[in-house]
Amino acid sequence: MADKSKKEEIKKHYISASESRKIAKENSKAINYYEKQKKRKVNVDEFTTQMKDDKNIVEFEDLHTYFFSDAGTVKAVNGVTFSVPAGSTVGVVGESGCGKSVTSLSLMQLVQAPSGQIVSGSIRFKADLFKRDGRGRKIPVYEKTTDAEGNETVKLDEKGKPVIKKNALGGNTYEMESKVVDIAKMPTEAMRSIRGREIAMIFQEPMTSLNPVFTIGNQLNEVGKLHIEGISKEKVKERSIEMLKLVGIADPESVYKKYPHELSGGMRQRVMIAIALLCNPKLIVADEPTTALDVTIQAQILDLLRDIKTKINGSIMLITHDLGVVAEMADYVVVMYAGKVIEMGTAEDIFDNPMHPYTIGLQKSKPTVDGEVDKLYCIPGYVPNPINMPDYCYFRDRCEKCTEKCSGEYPAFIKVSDTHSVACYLYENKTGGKTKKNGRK
Amino acid sequence: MEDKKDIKSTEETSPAENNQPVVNSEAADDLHGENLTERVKVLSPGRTVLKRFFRSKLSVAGLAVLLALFIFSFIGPLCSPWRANNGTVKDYSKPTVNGTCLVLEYIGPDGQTYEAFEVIDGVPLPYSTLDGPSWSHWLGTDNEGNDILTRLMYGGQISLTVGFVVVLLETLLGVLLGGLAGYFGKWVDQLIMRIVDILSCIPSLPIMLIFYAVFQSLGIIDISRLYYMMIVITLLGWTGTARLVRGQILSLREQDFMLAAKASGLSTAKKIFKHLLPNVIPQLIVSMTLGLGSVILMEATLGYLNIGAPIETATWGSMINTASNSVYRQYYPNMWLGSGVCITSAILAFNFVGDGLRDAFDPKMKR
Amino acid sequence: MAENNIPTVLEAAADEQNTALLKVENLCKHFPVQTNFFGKPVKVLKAVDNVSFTLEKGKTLGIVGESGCGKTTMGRTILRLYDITGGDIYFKGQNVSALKEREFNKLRPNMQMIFQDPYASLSPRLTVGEIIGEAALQHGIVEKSKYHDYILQIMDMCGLQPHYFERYPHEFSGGQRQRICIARALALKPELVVCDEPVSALDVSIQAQIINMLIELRKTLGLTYIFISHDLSVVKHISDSVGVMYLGSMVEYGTKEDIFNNTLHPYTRALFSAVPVPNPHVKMNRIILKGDIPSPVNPPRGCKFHTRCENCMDICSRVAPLYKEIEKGHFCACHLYNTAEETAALLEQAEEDEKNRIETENSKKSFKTVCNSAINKIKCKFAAKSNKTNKDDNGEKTAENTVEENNAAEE
Repeated sequence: MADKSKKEEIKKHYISASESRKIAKENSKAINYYEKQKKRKVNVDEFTTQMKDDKNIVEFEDLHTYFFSDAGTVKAVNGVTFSVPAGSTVGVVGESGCGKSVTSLSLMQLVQAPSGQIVSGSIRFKADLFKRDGRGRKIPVYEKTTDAEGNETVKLDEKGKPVIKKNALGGNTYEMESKVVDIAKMPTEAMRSIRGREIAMIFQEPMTSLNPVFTIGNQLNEVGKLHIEGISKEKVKERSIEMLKLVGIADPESVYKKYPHELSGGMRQRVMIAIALLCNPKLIVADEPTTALDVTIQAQILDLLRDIKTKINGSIMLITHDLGVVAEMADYVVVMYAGKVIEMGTAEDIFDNPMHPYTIGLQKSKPTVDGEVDKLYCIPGYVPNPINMPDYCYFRDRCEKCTEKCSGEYPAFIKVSDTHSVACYLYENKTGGKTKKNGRK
Repeated sequence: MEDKKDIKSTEETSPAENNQPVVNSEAADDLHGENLTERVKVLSPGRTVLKRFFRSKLSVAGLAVLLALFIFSFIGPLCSPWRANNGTVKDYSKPTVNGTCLVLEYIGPDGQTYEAFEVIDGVPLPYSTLDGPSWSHWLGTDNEGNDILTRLMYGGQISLTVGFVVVLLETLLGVLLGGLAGYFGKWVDQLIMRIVDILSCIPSLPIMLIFYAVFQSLGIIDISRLYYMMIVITLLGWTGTARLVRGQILSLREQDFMLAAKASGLSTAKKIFKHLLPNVIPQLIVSMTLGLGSVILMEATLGYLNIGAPIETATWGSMINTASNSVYRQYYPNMWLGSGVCITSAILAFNFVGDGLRDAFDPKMKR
Repeated sequence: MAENNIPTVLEAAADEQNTALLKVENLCKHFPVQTNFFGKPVKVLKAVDNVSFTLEKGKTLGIVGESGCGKTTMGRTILRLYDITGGDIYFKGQNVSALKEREFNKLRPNMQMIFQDPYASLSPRLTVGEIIGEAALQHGIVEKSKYHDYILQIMDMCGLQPHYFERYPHEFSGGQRQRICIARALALKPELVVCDEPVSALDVSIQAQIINMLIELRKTLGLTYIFISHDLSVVKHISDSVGVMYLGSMVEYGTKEDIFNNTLHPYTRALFSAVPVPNPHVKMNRIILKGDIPSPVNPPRGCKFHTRCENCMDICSRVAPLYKEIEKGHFCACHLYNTAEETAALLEQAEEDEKNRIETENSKKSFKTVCNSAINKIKCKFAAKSNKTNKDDNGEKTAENTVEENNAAEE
């Protein structure tokens, strides 16, 4: 008898066949719809928008990225709103499964299709796009010569073709226009010119993100040739070696000829950074760049990243689970939990005056080298499974300060100060009014 | 300072409970807020595999074909009025000749009464040999006057059964020897793997021909010859499974859970049978499915060369032997086409199902 | 066998180490990297090289170091999951490194291990109950009739709910899996638990739960831990004494207070300063080490750390420092703390060693030359034979010449 009830108990835990069929049906419907959306031909105007704040380089607004899995819809990113100001470092922190990586992948349109889809919301990015003529071709800028009388004529080469002006990187110059695009609505085709050229990504695992059968030089050159049009072979090599030098590799010429397996983890991560920097990107997305590295190597790489940010004058979106790394690197911090942003502000805001119980708990639960505590504080329970999330605050069940109100709808963002906002009912009355879903300035 | 400490201690009450042995864990459940994780149902491992298997159309088609073939072979004969041998005779109580005959009755050694017919003069009943397809014989009859469709059904029984038995034996042998080699390593591994190397470089067909000659001289000419041949195939064919199992066990042996088993001092038998082998089963199922196809193919080859089952026994292989006769090949395609189609579709179906299973079991295919 | 051991065990315990649960002396573990035709190792990776320490009952030893420093290998070698290359391990005064595998298996329940990766360390096709209870049943720690209750009690202690008993590990999150791993270890009633990075694969909020639980269990069950981690803050929180490893050797060892407040070795200092602090106001003036960890197959000569050390001196690249007690209970292997006499002695020894080395190399060389010249002579004789008709003595001459040339080249 006991066995039977046990079996029943186990059965209750599993999805039944009919439920599973229902999920599969809904999934295929949703996936078909979003895949079609991605493949359709779209006019440029359809995905150009305006920035809310001109100082920002990226603005996420109410982004939803779902995975349609066999066990149900996983809302990996469930309404994320924050922005990356130009020239600053934004740290996105959270535990595994909180959607921080998926947020960055959505920005690159690299979410694993077909099960993963950007469902709604927008990612505004200030991009420099190529100006196109009527037939969709890029418009080159020609080299001009001024003769004695001051007349400008286009310089011609031996074959009588006009010479295209070279830019700083050694490639052809085309007429550019600055446009704000919505990456969430962009078709895949148009995204290709932004990926790698405007936004570059550094991955967690330096051991697997380089192709083992090509030399380092080969892999650098490939990116260079792809994104810098009209660049000569010599120029590409020059640029690759220059980048290797920039990331602090002492002997760039020999590393250029080496294969990835001949390099250590730290060196490979440097190479990855070099590849990312090759096209002078405006934004570098670093997805746990130091997690797989040792502390001493991590210190080197963090130092390098900080150094490079000032050199290229770009922004960094740093995704990590390590609060220490964020405190050291970031100007602004975004704390995520179960697919939502729960608190954001400047690094000082978050570390000196954390407000959300989760942020407080996270900071207290990590022992420090300087401090001494008898017993670590710990947040009870586990990170919730992101399928079928409830309506109330996702942290309620682990929260010690939860009130009756917490069982109500999900709390909206409350602006505590100019830079600091938090999604928790605890602070509702302290500031008086609540401002709804405010993107950080 | 004091105040601060106070706050800390109040905050720490609940996590402290988390770590102490809690008597009533249901109550602790609510405290820990585990219901968020518990609330969600998950796919059971079996269903996950099924789901992934049925996602591939080709493997589902393969499965359908296999089912059809099994029904055809094992249930089909019950619906057919004909037998595999004895031509198109319906009434087995009458002699198969046209003419006068003496009816003799005698009591056999088992005490039963038998009837015998002694043919005095007359001609054999006109067998409808080499008939084309007709309503009574859908695929026509062969040179012995047997209904080809019915023979196909009976042939399927033997071919499929032989396939299953051989693959099962091969797998047993392969798991045993491969497992030994993989787990113990060193000289055991060396010995077994060198045997495997030697066996896999022996060409199977010439060996079969030699064994055919041996069996012939031993006077084994009936259906048992096929069974002996299959034993030979088994002894030659386990090497692939052994290699697979050895490789799997070598990689599993390095996993942390095997180290944990070693650290807790588990006995060798437990380590092998509870920790290692269950993890090899998915790969085994795949290799068995793919192996079935090749055994059926082997049987067909033997049949075609007439070194397997004798011609009068209906198997798919012996039926395809008729294609070696140029007249039949040219003018009576109904005699060999059916078995050809059966063999091809069986092998294809087994391969499709095997591929589908492999994808379904592969954990890397997750989502 | 076990009965025979008892008196010796008692004697040994009475002799020197009343409280020492585990004593490791000059433990070495070398992995062959390259072997010659006969299976003899030509090149070895010294994963653990001459490590010694003593661990008292109820205390926790933290081992820190970067990846590839041999801390995991050390933990596994102590439990004899790897064969020991050299050195001795005394568990409760009994030399367990000399025991046969079969006898050691009986001791295994006393020493358990918690692994780093909670996903790989649970057999995927066994239920949670089986995973936890299997070994306890085999070792006769619990009777079959009480088995179920015993396992439930253990699960309860580790914060697992009773209805997990029939579930499979794939249904659990990392934190829960790690609890299962801990339950599996505790079900055997161990005295020593080697925790190999038990929290580094977990999320921060779960890490704290597990660490608190480990501390709690240490108190209630009187466990002794060897806590291996690359996370200094965690090690500091849980340990009583700390050992710092670099390239297979212990470079510093002492009580927690010694190591963290009175850091001696430059590597330890650099390691501490590299840890990012979750406080944006702390501006780092950290020591950033140059370069990467050298390959343990070819460790640098002299002090292994001298290639990255900021206090590197002349002597460092020539002589390996002594691992010695600098303060009471605080060991360190660094030339910075040598007295003048020690330095002189070490240098002298180094010179002698160098001489010896050159000599042996020379002898190898001369052996080679002899061989070569012999081979050349034979070759020339053959050549001479074939050229007999025209120039007989010419061949002899060339033979001599080649021999001479060869010698010159060798020198």
